[in-house]
Amino acid sequence: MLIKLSGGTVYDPANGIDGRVMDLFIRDQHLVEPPADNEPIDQHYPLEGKVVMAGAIDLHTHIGGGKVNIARTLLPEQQPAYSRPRAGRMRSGSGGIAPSTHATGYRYAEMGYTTCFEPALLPVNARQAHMEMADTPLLDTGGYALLGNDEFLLQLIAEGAEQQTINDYVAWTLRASQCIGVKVVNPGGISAFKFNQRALDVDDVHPHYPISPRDILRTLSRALHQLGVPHPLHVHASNLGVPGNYLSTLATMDAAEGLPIHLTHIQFHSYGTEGDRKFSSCAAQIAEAVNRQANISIDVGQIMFGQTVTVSGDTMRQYANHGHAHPRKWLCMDIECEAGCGVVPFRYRDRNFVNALQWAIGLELFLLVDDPWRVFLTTDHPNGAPFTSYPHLIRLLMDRSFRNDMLARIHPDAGASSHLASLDREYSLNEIAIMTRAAPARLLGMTDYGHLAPGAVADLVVYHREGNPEQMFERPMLVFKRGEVVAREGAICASVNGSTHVVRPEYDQGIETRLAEWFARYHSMSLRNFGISDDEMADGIGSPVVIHPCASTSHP
Amino acid sequence: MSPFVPQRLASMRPRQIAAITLHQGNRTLPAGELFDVTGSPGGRIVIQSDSELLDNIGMGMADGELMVEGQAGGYLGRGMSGGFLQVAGATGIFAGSAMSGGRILIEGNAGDLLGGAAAGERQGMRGGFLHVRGSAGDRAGDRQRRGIIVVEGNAGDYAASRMVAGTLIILGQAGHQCGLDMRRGSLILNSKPKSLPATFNVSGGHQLTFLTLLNQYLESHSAPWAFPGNSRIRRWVGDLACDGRGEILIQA
Amino acid sequence: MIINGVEIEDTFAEAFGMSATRLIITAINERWARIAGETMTGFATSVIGCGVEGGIESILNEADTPDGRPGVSVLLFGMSGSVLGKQLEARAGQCVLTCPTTALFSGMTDGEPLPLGKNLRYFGDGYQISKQLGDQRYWRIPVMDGEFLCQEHTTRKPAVGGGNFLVLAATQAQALTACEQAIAAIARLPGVITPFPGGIVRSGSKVGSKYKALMASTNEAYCPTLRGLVRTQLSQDTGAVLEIVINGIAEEEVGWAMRTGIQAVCELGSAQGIQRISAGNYGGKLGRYHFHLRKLLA
Repeated sequence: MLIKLSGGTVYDPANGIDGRVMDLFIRDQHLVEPPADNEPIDQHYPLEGKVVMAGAIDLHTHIGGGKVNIARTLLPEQQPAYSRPRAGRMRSGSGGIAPSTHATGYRYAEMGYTTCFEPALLPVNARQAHMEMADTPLLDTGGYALLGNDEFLLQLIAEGAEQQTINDYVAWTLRASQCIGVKVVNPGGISAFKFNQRALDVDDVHPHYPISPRDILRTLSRALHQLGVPHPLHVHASNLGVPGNYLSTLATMDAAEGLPIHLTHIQFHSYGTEGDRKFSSCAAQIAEAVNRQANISIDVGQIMFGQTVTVSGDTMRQYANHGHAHPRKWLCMDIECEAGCGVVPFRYRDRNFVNALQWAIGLELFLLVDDPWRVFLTTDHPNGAPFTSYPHLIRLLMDRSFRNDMLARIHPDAGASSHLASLDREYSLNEIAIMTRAAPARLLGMTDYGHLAPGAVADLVVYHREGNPEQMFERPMLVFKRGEVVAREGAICASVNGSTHVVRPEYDQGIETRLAEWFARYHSMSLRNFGISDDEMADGIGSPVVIHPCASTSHP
Repeated sequence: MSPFVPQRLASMRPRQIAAITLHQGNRTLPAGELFDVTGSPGGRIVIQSDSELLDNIGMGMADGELMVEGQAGGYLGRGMSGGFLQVAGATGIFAGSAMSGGRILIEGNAGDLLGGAAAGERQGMRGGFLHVRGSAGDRAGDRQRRGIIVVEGNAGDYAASRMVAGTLIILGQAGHQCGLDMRRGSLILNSKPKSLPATFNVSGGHQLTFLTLLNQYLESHSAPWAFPGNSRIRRWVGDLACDGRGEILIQA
Repeated sequence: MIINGVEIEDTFAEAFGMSATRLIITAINERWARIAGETMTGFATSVIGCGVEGGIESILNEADTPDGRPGVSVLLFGMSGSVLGKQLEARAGQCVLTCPTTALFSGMTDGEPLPLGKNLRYFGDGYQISKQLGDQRYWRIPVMDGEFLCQEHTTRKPAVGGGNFLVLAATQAQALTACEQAIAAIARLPGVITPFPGGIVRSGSKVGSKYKALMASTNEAYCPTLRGLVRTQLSQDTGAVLEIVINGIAEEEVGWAMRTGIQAVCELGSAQGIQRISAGNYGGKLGRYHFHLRKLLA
């Protein structure tokens, strides 16, 4: 099957193409060089005046794992509130803020997203999380294994284990849980919470293990770097949501000691204590630190006004915020002594000072970080807002007058205490393509994704060029998944199953001896049953793995 | 069946009503294919059907009268805020769920979760008067918040489960574990239930003035009393597992 | 005008606009309902010193009360809704809530709402139970003899206070007997009460005093012992004067009660020492309502 896409305006920042009119060719599942003149074209799409980009990649969205299911269970009334009837080849789905797997896959694909990453995949829950993501149609998926509050790692660091041992454990975890990266949530804080600690700043010492969050950050970022894992340590920093937490965030950046580090939903970590209400924006300080340190990348975790549900492994902070639950029901739990889980429904209100300022802080961060290769478009779905609000967010970034109209509607004191009105920057289509395609693929080491050069996987999106970016990104004209048209004019027309993206750093299998003892003594399953094989991924779970290369291992 | 409420149909002609689409299984089809629609505009609707599949009859009803000459399905009068809804036969689950006002009279039996809370809701019935001449299924008055339910026949297990407040009266035999997780509210029984949770304590025999007022209210709604207002009743308090300010009143 | 030898003076009673509420107190028997009602209205003769004026309007039998027990109907009058509300809360809390076996209900349905159980419920310290029956809410407040049942709200509406007449007689005993007759007749009427002790006041007052601190002082023109010293309104043979003050929900009811009372006095006539019927007023400048004696009796 040979497909020709002719005359579209292509934005492919990975290959330096910024709005060039050119033809693209797809053979089977990949983009290819132009074929010989005499070869017949099977399908031809004339795309004059249309915009062509690679399929979008969301590197931080909670779409799998136990906590999403808990959110669905906690808020059953949200399911009938948004229902999606069976239509054509699409199965039914429901849920607006924590949609069912099918509704999630369809809506993402309708918006031109082709790959999504679950950022908090607990290794002990990996099997269920991969099954859930395999049930999310049309999307390639992947997960970041949660480490940094598991007793095994804390014990290793506390007893002063060699970095090599840590590296082996990290690599083994990636292999066993079939993940592409490692995330740490409130380093050590979730564990400390279980020792009745209610806060743990970067240099505070854990109440049981004589280590600080800084030790955990340093050890894990170094492990990933030495293992050659492309995606840097994905950090949900300490003190989420606490006024004045920008200092913890700066300390977290510092803890990486110059090694690559990704700070996620940084909007929730950029708060100061200025002003009458002791709550202010420190977006400028954070953006300045990001601009200055090239080893740091961030995603924003923008909030949008309306009902949503916050799901997080950060039991410590979710417990602290449970009083704000709306509707008034919430849940915090421990998961097998490896991490936590907190689900607190929340309604962000534009007439509320704090919520309004959170909204402004997120946008300030987008606009103040200069390099679009290091800032990513997320709402930390569903924590800041459901992913369905992305087109609206893109318009806020691309359209200054629209942004100022929205700013005029929020709590006036919040508007007044934000610099947002003075920020003139408008994102270009090329910059949007960077932050939603090229940059995530590069940061995750997915060499064949997020760009449109010959050899790349043919995940691509064709948009109508509309005056209003929200409409443009809400309803693409065509969405190709691995060379097949899956959505047309914002409606699904075919359903394909995705793959799971992983990395495989090498490690010394000797670590399994010690792990086997640990499992036998403390775990709810045996080491033998813990890991997920490639065959199980492909046949049992139904999502075959795509292995991305690691950099050559460098030992200190 | 939710479109068929007086406030929506009051000014519509039969032909317009016949064009309203209804869901049947995974199909949608116009009401005219399922029903013969006759009559003239007004505030009174009569549904003649003996199907137990007609869900959501009187859903969101705000005024007027709705008579079902036959049976009804689940969710009868759900979210109803006013008017009078009468069913000649039996109904399915969740009759009167989320109801906040008005009056429902069910001549036959009612299914489980009479006046109960649907999944995710923190309150069941929130007001109005719900009267069942027959028996009710399990968990009648689940999470009820306000309003009065009268069941003339028997009730299944877990009557008044998770009740927040309000009054549930059972004249026949009540099943096991009445009042489980009840926080506040009154469950009034004519006779001893099959069992009570261990987390209820007896608070002795009393005569309660308010029962006279309740009887007058029931009389004015053509419902029978549980027992005379000056009767001596045995009062149980609980569920002590959650708040414990509820009461079960049983004629001594 | 002379009735049965009694002169009806050509003057008028001057009455004021007030705010009133009606309550129904029930109890295990009439005795205890009456005790609660009397206690609640015991110190309620005049707004000048008591905040409100009140009294028992009628005794109710089982068929006429909300809970089917014997009861009394009480009327309370205040110069404003807020004073009335404050006094009602204090009196309901101290005199009815405390009284064995009672329950307290609203006796009116129209007018502005006035909190009753809405505030008293807090006595229940969290153990109070609310019951909504139709559009009425009731509170069940646990107390040591069982439950105090109390309606959430009563209502208040504009009313008339200060309808009055004076009975001038040859002796103190004759004046009192005549007034007792009048009170017995007025007690049977609906919508009115006579707030003073036994319905009768002997210390008629005028506005102002030689002492700056006093708003009102004795009405010397009607004091028999001051005859010869001040400009008196009494003839030489008048031995005593007593006054009946009437408050009511409606102007007509107050007028009717005055007429009924005066007629009862006149029935005794000059034969029993009754000389004259007069009325108190302030020249017509202060009160909204004027009851002309001769018009009432015409």
